Amino acid sequence: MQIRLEHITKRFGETVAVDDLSVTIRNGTLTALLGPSGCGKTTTLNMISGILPVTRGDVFFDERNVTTLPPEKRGVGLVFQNYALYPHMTVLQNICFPMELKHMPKAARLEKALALAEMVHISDYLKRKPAELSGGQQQRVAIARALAKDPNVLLLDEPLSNLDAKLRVEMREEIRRIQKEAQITTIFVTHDQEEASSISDQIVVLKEGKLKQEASGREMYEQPNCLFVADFLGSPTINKINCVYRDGNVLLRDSSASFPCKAALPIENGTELILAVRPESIVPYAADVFCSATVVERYSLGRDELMRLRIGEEQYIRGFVSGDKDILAGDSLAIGLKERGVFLFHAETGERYL
Amino acid sequence: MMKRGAFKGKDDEQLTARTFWEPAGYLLPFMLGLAIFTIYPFINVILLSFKEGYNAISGEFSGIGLSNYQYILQDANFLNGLKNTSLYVLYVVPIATVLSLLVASMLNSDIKLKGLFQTCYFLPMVTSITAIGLVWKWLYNYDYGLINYFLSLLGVEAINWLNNPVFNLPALIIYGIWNMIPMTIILLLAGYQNINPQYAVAARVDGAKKGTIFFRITLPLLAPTLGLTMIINVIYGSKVFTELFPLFNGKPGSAYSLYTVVYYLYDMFYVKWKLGPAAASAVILFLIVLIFTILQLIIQRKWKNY
Repeated sequence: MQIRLEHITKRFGETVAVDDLSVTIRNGTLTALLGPSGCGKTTTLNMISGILPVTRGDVFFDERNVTTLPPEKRGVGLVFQNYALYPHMTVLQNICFPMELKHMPKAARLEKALALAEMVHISDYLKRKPAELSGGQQQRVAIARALAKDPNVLLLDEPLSNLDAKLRVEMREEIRRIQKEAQITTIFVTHDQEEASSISDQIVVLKEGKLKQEASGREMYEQPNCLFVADFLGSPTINKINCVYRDGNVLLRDSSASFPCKAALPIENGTELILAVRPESIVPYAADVFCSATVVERYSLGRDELMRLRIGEEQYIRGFVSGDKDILAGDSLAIGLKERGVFLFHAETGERYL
Repeated sequence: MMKRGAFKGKDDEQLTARTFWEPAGYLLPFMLGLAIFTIYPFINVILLSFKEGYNAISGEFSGIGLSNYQYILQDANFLNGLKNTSLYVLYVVPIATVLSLLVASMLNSDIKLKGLFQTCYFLPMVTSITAIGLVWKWLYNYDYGLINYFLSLLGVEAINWLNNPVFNLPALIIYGIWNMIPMTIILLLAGYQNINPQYAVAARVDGAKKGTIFFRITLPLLAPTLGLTMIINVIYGSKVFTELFPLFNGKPGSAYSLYTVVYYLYDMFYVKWKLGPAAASAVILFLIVLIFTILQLIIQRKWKNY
């Protein structure tokens, strides 16, 4: 089922939690609502499920306007952040509960519950109470319960935030597998950019209730449309180098380095800019020298080694250690930039120029 | 950093003069109070109940035996008290629990003037039971009472609540229910606080209607609290006395037919000066309450379902 949000706004008193958001979520895709805490992503999810009424705007499931429908009539499966499994019911009873409410015959609902349990790999725990399960198992039960009523949409609210780091990676792949197996349009809320890019078909980035960008993870990483998205995606985070615009040239604040723009920018001289460079786009000992930098320190991330560099007095950047030469703290390097992963933004508005 | 050893694990705990005497010092005032005002009288009452021919002034007694128990078990007033107390508990506790549950679930939902309603329901708790009893005495008044007035509006003939022995127990029960509700509401509301509202939201998304949510989700989760309130109320109800006393001018009902166990105890002790039988009736009351408590604890453990 396709989900279409048209100009939805949510106000809590004076605060605007979601501001004129229009997004289309394609049928059968896994979509991540990504943003820092307080950006309105859970509010958006709750408006899709119907738990929260919208202040303005419309929610469409395919061509049907569901804006005023209560949650029980929207046919949504919801997985809560804390799973909200009924503590007094066994795993089996939990999964059967939504089907029981639909007055499905007992044999049919048992059969379906067993099939779902099989799919999410919890067949061995059917007789247990939620308190006797680990976080990951509770998560699976919650997904099975949400799928039990054949929902049109599966909604997951920060589904992985209560799990430890290792389980998180495992469970996100599980969610992807289950979503593909059930072929269901799925939306999940997360504040973890890695989680969002790793499993979703499409990412919707929100900031302060406003849509920032809507694209696939790859596309968003390579072509962020604003400084916020460029900064939010990627680990280690993108380098932000303070610059000033002058007569068709971009001048680094803390160094004599500069580079010409291919075309004149529609801004005044003296406008502050941010040159954003992905760490992997910084090339040490490049033939095409961009500027010189001093190595402050280098440290290991496991597979990769990072170096922290200083340009001029107080502009710090991070790059990956690469090339044949050994780089040590205190060395002075000539660095170059790759073509990919280099963007130019307006320092205040975040608008992208390059 | 915390000083090492300031918080030792259980395994390397050592009983030294410091780790024993200092905590003991803190506990002493409470323990002393408990010993003087609870434990000593408790033991004394049990001993007293076995002393035959006890003289309260000289402290002498003729022997040890069960004659006090024989006496009260043959005393019509005591048996009457047992019967009335049982009926009182049997009616008051379930009815008060159901009504409290109703009010508590309404107070727990988002209603307007919630604070005002809460205050109203809790007000009786901060008022003296005897004072309230006197008010109820007026409510029950045959000629001028509000209750008979409202009954007359419904076309029911005036009931002589306080002077017709047939209506004495119902009068006590109605007042008892009213009296028990506030505390029960508070306990149930506390129980409600422990239920994550997300369960109800989840059930709603699952397609449950309000009634289903209450009976299938809320009530089972509230069961442990319900069990607890019922234990407390059975114990409290078994000790019915302060409700009875002002209602009938200090008499056990208009025809001396509304004895309760505690009224009998009071009567024996303060009025008739028969200390042995009074102590024996106290012990029997204690045993009855104990049995009920154990029974309900067992039930409660079965109700605790998660």
